[in-house]
Amino acid sequence: MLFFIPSSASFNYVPAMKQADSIYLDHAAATFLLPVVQDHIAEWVQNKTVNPSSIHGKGRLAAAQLDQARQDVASVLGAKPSEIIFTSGGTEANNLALVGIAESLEKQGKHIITCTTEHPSVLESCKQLESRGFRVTYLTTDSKGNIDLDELRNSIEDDTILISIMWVNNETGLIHPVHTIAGIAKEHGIKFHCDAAQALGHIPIRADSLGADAITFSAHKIGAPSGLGVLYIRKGTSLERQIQGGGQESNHRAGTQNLLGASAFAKAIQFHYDHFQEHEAHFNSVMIHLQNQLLTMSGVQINRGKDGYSPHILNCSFHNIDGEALFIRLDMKNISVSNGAACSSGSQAPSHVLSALGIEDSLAQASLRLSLGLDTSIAEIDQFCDELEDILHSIKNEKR
Amino acid sequence: MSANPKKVVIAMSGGVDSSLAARILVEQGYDVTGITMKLWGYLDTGGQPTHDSNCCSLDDINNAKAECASLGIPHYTLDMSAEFKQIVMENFVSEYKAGRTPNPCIVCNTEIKWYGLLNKLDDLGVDYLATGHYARKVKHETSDSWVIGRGKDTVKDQSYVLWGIRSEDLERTLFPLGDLAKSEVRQLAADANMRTADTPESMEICFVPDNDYRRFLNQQYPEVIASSPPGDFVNSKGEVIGQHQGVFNYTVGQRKGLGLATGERVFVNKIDVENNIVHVGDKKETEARRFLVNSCNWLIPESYLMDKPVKVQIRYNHEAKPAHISRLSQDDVQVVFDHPENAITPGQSAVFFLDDQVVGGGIIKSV
Repeated sequence: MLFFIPSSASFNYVPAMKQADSIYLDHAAATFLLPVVQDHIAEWVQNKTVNPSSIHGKGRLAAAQLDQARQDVASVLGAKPSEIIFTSGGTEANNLALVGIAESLEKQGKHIITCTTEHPSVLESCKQLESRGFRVTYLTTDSKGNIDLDELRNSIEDDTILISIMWVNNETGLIHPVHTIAGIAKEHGIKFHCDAAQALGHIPIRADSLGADAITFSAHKIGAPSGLGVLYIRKGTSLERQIQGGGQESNHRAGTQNLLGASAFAKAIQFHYDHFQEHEAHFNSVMIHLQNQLLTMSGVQINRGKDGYSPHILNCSFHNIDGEALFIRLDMKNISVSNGAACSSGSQAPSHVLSALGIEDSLAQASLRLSLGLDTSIAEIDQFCDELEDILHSIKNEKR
Repeated sequence: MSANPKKVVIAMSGGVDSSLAARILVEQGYDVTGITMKLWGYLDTGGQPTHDSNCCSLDDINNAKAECASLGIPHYTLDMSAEFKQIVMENFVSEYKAGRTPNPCIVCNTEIKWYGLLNKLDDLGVDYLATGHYARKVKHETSDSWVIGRGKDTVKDQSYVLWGIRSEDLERTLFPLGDLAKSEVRQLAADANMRTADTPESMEICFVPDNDYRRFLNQQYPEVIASSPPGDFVNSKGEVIGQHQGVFNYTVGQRKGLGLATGERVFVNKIDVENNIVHVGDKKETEARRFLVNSCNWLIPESYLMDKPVKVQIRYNHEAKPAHISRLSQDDVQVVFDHPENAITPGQSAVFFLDDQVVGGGIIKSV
């Protein structure tokens, strides 16, 4: 199944949940638990783990485990343990970064710069701040999603306190030049937050070399259970906490910690960094194959350039196709993809990211995000493309 | 059923009827997919998210999803709110503005549930559309056409609201509940431990959950209200006997809420939008035998009906009465009841029955 061969005893990646008759190409939404994480969870449920804030012996044991997880995460990311805040997920981490930093710097200024293609957890935090008197500049992008760094520089005002730009776009896979942006922010004495939820596992992130003041991570994007996120917050960066209660997480985030989530995340991130090069080679070759296959189909527009994209996300649009029908037909064949638009209430607003790229609503509605995982094989991509071609063909022919 | 079962989409509101219909289809061996159409949002209609208990609320979509999950069949929510607003709500508003009394459920059935959904379903390679309506699909013997028979449950029978289904769409339709009474449906649902077994009946217009269409128009279409100013109530002698509050507030046959202290029971018998007059009179004056119908749909060739004895039903709770129909022009069909009927209301549907089967219908144009 996997084209790469495990090189050491510890690298025994065996896809566990794999069904022969299903194809999962929605790993950017959530990817399967890594075997190393499954093992960890199986072990963990045997332990009688308690609240790490309790000061009795069992509590101290839990606190030690949490501390270990924090140390492991920090060491992989090139951070200090005190710079790691465990949250309930990427969304909370983004909320905490945006609102927490803005509130703490309110006296210095009330201007924030972000981009129209950010994740809703950033954009909605910005809206909330706007309703409280902050001003937000939403940088527009070119048709690929790139922001103009000159425009960024020109947007900086005397009272700009924060820039928030994501590392990898969750719908298109585009990589933003966050190192440069971090430099610009530093030059102007502005805090820089980077949502790296989709970059983790695909880019060898080091907090110390990026130079950001805050970075967001999410566990279920890298094979740990959902319900755990991390906000890296550089030492000395002030942050108003957003959840009130006890003094957990160095007083940055109240609430009993998700110890299982944190320790599973630590295992997962360690695994990714240990095998980074093998993984990168795998994703690159499967992505190139997928892209080449799609290029042979007519009416398919690939919303992705050659360079500057994470190798796990590909967004494509289908001309003259009903996107809902395409999505449902794929699902009926047990092929899981994302149409990037459906919410729980079923409203089909066109993707704000594709709209920002200037893709018209009807085409945006007929767009899919295909995202690869560690166990996605070339054979699966071939099978997917065969099914996709059949479906596109029959949709075009069955129209009355 | 064969190794290649026919594919059916069941339109699910999240209530007990469509949920049980889905279960029946699965038991009959069809390859079933549940679809819930998102037709409107509470915020679009001025409603309260927490108060809405009708179809299209999140609870109902979740109910439909859960019923499908327990049946092991897929469920999808299709957003058809743009079509619904453009076709059903706009028609609702323009009809009231024109002094007529619309039946939006019929427009929704005809244009959204059947025509619109079937159009979408073509892309999914689906054979049949099923709904939880209390009606039957039957063959009309002499013409060999599919027509709509009344549901076994005569109280719940919904054949009246289905007259607009195009003949070719009816061909691809299934009504799994046609041979069941509502009480049987609830019992079967309870026996199967379905979570929707006790869902309340929905009686009102889905996008006007508080049943106050005047509130809806006022809040959502104030420009329409603004263009419908107060005017005169005029009696049969031509005397002005009071002021009305804008024609959209009234419907033919209405007695309550007129605000007229005449000492006798008066009823609206005609709404004259051009002159902004609402005509009132005694009950007798709302009676008529003859009226015109347009926007007709025929499930059997017209020739089987013209100038023959048929029965015509003029509103949801009306008992179909003997009448003759004839074609007056390309657009208009004339209906003449054998005996006078009360409150024949422009905008409502006139449905044509032959042998207790719906064979066609149209919208009442004028009396």
